[in-house]
Amino acid sequence: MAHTAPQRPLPRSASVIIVGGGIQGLAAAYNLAAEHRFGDVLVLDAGYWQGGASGRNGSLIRGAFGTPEWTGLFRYSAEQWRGLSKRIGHNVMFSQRGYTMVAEKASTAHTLREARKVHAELGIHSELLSHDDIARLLPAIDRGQVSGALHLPDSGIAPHHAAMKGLLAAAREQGVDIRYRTRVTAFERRDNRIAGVWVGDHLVRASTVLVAAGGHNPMMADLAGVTLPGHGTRLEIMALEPLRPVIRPGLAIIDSLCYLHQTPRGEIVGAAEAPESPHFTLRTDIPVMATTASVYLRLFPQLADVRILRHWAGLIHATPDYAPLLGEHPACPGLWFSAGWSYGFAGGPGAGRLMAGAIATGTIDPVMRPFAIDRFDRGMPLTDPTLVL
Amino acid sequence: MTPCDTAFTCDFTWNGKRYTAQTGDTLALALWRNGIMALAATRKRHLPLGLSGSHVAGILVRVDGHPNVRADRVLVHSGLVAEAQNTWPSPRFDVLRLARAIPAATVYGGFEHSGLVKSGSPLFQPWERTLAFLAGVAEAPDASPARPDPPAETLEADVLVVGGGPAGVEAALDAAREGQSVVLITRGTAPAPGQFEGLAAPVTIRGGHEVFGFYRGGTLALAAPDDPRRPAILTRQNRVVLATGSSSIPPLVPGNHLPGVINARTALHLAEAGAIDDVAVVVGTGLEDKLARMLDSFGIRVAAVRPVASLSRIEGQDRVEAALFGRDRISCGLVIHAGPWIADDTLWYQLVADGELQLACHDEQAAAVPVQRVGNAALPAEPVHVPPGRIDSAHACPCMDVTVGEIRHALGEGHSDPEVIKRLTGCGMGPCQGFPCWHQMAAVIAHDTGTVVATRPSRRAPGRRITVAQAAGLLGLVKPL
Repeated sequence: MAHTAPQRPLPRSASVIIVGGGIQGLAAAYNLAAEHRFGDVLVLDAGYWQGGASGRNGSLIRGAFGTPEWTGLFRYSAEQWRGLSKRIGHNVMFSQRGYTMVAEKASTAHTLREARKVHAELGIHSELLSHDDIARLLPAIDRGQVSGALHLPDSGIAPHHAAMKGLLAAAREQGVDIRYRTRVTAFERRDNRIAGVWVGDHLVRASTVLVAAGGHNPMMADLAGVTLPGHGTRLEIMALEPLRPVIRPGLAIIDSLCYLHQTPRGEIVGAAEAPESPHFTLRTDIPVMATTASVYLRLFPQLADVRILRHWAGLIHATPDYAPLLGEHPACPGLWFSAGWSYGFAGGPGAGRLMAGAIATGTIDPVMRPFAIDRFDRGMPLTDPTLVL
Repeated sequence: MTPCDTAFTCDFTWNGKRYTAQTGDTLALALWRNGIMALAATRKRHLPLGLSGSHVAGILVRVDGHPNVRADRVLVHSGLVAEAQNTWPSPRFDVLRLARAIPAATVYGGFEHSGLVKSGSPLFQPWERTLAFLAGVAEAPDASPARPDPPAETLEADVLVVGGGPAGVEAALDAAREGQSVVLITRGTAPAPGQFEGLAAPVTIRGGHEVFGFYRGGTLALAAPDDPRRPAILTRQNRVVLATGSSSIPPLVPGNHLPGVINARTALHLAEAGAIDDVAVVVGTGLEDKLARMLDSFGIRVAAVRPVASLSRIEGQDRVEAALFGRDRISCGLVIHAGPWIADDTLWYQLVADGELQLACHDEQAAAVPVQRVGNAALPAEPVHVPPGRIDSAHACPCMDVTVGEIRHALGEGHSDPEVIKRLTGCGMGPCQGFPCWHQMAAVIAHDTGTVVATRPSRRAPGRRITVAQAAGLLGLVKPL
């Protein structure tokens, strides 16, 4: 790019190459350097900083789901979020304002009560909200539409621009070499193992490569000659013009497949999914905007005449169970993936630390283990009834 | 709205005080007549903003319980109650004005990028609540509207013309004479229908509507954001003509946010209404002499007419008090700019690209309908002059309170990518979604780095051109892919 400052030449080798400078890549890089004392960690990203899903997501950080596996990973990550500013020395603006799952249908209220039991068994702090609690926590919601709500007081939100700024600065301070607008064009393999990556005609050698390329993970896997379950697709989201606070916690309106929160800038950011087939594009379309607006109109009638500020799309890698794929690829030693994310922003700090630990020690943490890449081959998918995406 | 109830005037309330408007006045014009120029305040440092013709934040006010109403679009009716937003505890006694004492550099990137109170510390949650209150600027609507929400409509024509100025009218006439049916969309008042009579094909006109997006299959989407009772519209056409004109961009000098810095079009509008009695300084890129003569014909005193590149600073506390050209200080109440002229290419950009990544996966949708730009919309952008010397306090984006100094701070940290600077500063993320501020940002980057800035951040529709209820009305017309 003509306007990009001239960069230093790429190194000839690295201890670990991370493909993707989003939250997964930066969190893994930071932990490799800070916790495991890896030098020469190199992060390569084809796009610009925050150009992928790490800069396009709903900023929600949810620490519990409906199953032990999902809850295990995301509880760990929410713990990381709570201590992240202190740990990395930069303000990631994690706001522990709670996260509420709202049921419209009676059957979904039952699902939330079941999820509460799972949380109780795992020692997770969650509360079924009474009618009065809802009135206090969510004064703007039309309570006639709500049949039940489960609140996670330890969860919350973080503005992605603040979180990404903090992680970028912290990783650089730890000596990680991070290059945006630098596209990996091929993977180098030798004797079936990974041996490095190519950037055009320049080879960077490394015996460990972590691919964390968001929606582009399936393409990266193709490029490396391995297969990953799932496909890339867009998700859309929109922001309303700023208002002084009317919605405090992060929200998942489960029956409408809608999630939203009000940012520290006052914008109400969220989306309700329209049932569309996968499209790999950053173009936005009318159905998601119209569907989201109709959910807002039903649940928050006060917002009827508020204007829509902007609407954008991000790319994710959707797996058959929407759960992430974490670990070394069985067909290519040395090639690791942090892929298949749909709650990747929430999971980033946790997964990044677990991934760094796995790469550094060769031991997979029990929290990370169920998310292995070959779980479908073993007949162990991770379906969860409380997903909203 | 009920118009003024006597033949000539009606009373309205601004910030708790009663004023008189003339029949047909917009709120912005009525306030201007009453000598009230500062209508809003910037979001970080609470600097005064007003009617400019360039940026929206200066004219967003609360009207009859509705937040973020454009004062330049709403007509005054008898008993209208309006007040300034972004004040606390009240517009008359506004403690937030103290924020003007905050040094600009301490809030680069916004309060949310500061390390002042880190998350995880006991003070963070109340601090963040305070930030959200300040950044939100406007209280939510008082209540939900008691009216049915309008289902969206469709419009079909051979040719769709966007823009009701001379170029748009000419394009509509040309097409209709050739026997092609035309839909003409304009965000202002609709052109007189008389001139479209007796043509070979019909011309349908929709005034007060803004086209906000280009969607799949070449569908254009439009709505009337200032009149929530009117439905959103989707169009189908064989050809699109963009006659969206061009705008004069505010000079990139300190004080350019001040009430009283207005573009040529706004100045002529106010002059025609007989609302100007201040001394004006006129600057421009070639049309300044012509504009000064036009203003003179309205009886407006013009103290100086100069090239915009010779302007070095605008002074004033709550409004313009003087224009400085080097050491030459000219007292004035208005700085009127006629250039640099730049066409808002948001729609065009959305059609051909939405960011560089989008280019990479550019699909067949874009080519679904031929698009032509005519009139000033087809002219190349004039360069934005970056004056030498200290211009750190000049605003690149008044809506998000982003100054040249803030952009330079990001450049100094090694960031020169426009997409990255947008995310670090918030430049262009306000109500107008990047126009004209990304041109100002690009000019600063190009000037300071000595490179050509080939890209601007991706344009994101709908740029507050549709309400939630209007968008919900689109549900029945569109099927997910």
